[in-house]
Amino acid sequence: MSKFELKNVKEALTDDFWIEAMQEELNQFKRSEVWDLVPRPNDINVIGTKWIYKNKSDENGTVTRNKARLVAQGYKQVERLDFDETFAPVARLESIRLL
Amino acid sequence: MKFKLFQMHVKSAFLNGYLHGEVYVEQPKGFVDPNIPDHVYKLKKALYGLKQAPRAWYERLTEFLINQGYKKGGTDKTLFIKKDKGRLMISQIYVDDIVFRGMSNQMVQHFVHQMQSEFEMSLVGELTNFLGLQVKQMEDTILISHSKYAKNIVKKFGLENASHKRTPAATHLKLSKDETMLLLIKVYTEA
Repeated sequence: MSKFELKNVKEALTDDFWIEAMQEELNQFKRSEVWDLVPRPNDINVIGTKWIYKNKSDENGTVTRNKARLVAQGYKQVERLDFDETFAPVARLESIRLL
Repeated sequence: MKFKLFQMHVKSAFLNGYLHGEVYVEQPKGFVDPNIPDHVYKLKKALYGLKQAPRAWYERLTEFLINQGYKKGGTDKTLFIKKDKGRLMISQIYVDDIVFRGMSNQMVQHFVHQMQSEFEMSLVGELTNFLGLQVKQMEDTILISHSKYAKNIVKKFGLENASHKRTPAATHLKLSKDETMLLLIKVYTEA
């Protein structure tokens, strides 16, 4: 287990634990059939991706898992061109308390 | 208590949401296919960070629950209810965290199985923690507290070993102007 959270992919690619964590994320993508590798389209915006590194720790603060998450750089998306509707509801605290 | 509350968590929830329309992303750094480095990925499901990711997940989950016979709440759109022979099953969704309870064990088990067969689930069990709240379920009451949050604040100010006081003030106190208080107030309001 790596004790450090890394800032960039350059550092991560020199650490076996973090390489494994990134591989695990990509395996999850495969299992969930998230994407297909295709030739670059000519006239469509291609969004960049970024690795985020986060350590999970237990109650005592001991690192239990190195987690790598690949995220899309959503701020590069153009409204109407790349997306339209984005609203998603979350629960009201009243409902949660009521339960 | 007759009907216990349970919770579960959907792993990588947003990766379950289907995307409408064409979205392409670059190959991730460090994992570019050397034979076709200029290729890109065409997304079928959402990625974290995409503007439409939360909505895509919510739609997928809603559709699934409705197909399983659940009705969406009229006021709270994240509350799902199913009635079966006069028995109720209730699920409250908070993005990828779900709190649920049913009027029979069978309904609860059935719901867990349904969810597990459709999504990757974790942390299935009795409700103990939700949205930073600590939940304690007892015989006929439920105790909801912010004990973790409170403990963290105490820790932050180095008071873990300080003694308790019934009245949070000195009993014999003479008031005087004290400029140093202003600094303290600033520290406390940050917490």
